[in-house]
Amino acid sequence: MPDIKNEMPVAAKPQAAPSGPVLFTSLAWFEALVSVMRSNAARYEHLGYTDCVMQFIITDGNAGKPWSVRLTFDTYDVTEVALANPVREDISDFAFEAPLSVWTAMIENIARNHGKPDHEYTLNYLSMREPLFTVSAEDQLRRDYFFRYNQTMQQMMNDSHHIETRFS
Amino acid sequence: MGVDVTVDKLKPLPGDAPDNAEALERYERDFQSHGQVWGEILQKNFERLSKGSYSLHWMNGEANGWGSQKPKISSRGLTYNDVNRVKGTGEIEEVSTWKSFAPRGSIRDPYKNMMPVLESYDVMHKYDVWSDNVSPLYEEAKARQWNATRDIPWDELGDIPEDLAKASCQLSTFLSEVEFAAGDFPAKWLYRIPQDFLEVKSFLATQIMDEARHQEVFRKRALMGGGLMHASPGFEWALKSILDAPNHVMGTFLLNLLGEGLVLSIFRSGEMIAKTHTDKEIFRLCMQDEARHVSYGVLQFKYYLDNHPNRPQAEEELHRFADLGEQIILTAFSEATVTEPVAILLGGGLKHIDAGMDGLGKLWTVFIEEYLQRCDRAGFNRRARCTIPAQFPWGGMIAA
Repeated sequence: MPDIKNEMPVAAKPQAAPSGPVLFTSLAWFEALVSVMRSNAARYEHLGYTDCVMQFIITDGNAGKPWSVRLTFDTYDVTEVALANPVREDISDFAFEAPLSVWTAMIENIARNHGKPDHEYTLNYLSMREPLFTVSAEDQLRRDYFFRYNQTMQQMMNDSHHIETRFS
Repeated sequence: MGVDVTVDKLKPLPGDAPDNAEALERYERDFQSHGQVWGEILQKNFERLSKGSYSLHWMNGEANGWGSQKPKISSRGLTYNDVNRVKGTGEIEEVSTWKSFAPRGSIRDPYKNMMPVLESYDVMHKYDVWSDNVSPLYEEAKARQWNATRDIPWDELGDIPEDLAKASCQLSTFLSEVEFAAGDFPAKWLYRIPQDFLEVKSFLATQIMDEARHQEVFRKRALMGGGLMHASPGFEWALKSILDAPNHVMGTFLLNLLGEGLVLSIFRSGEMIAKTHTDKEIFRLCMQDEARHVSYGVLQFKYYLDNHPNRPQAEEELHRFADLGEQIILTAFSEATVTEPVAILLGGGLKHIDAGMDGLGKLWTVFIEEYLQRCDRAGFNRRARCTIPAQFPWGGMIAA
């Protein structure tokens, strides 16, 4: 597989969430998510620090083709939001992988419930629904990061209700 | 009758309160047996004090380079890893020779013969306790503490049908029972690990705190949902077997890698099958703690195997232990007090328990594969010898 990452901007520093609708999937959407996280910093500090690299893979998120973004967590912050190869990269501790319809349903449900998703739309719930939604990693120890930082991951996704999302 | 005996004058029967006299006498004898040492210390100090003079020998820090290096504070604050970069404090011997409280890196050699020997410190090999992630895990544990009193939205628990409520309470009762043992195991070994392995002792202390919080949160959950339900005799045998493990590594394998690995799976399932936001929150928070314990277990096991002077022998002994350990855990996880409430919650009610058991069967396969992958990561290939069936032993499958 060609190294798609090298054909794309390597990294993008998270910036303030733009006003108005933001497209999912896009780098701007994840940057907006990180901006929302930062504005809710006290909550994340209360949950405790997070040190891992996680990857989102939307298997048909790029006009029917795979699309991916990588988030690097360091202590209480996300230090990098970067486009990634749409396969799990070595640098990533674990990767979420699901089709756009699953991501859309989750994000819409979170928005509809003002940040408190119905029971069938939490990350952990979905991760038990393989192969619809998978959490992959090089080994189980790295996959266990998903469990070690689960509450932070869920909080992050719940915070997406602050973003006005439009879907392609 | 010439004897004036009435009931009110009878002496009370001996009570069952412990008699401390014998223990106190032993303590006194022990103190007196070291009377010369105590006397010398006191006499020397009294003579100096009565002369109005000072020792100030402790002001001499040259022996360990006092003042020559200062730890650098990292983004997380000042961690063990940060301070361990100071020369003379972070080097950890493969075999500790210090059976005292003297801190690693302190000036302690001149006093070695003047200090008592703590015979309880008998886990002296680093490979018996160390894992390469233990310091970050300790920091992470402190950073991710939570409070079962304050951080759970207890007021959002709400009412659920009786069968689901009873299943939730039974599962909570079972988990509360399990968490007691999970705290007792590190506590049992904590006082046997010398101070030189302070990072391990610190991490085990967080594990004890985590397990205390888990038994607390599940006890509260059961009582909030209607009340505590039934104890699990089959699990009691497994919990006792964990406490009785022949050594720390084997016990850590049984508790942290295998047992807590499966409990982590139960927490994940618990979050998945939870019927309230309150339960989801409980299971997610417990999941995080449990995953730390599992991570320690995996890399402790790896460190042991990688550093044991006779790896083939160590590996074979561990396989022998795992042969038993897997049967212990299999027996425990076959208990009705565990499988049935999970199946009812999975199925969505008592009348759907068969569907729930079918679902549990599918999850079982995932759980066992995760266990084997953790063994792989530790460099311990159990795939050929694993005695836990890959398929859940349920004969009433309804799915084709």
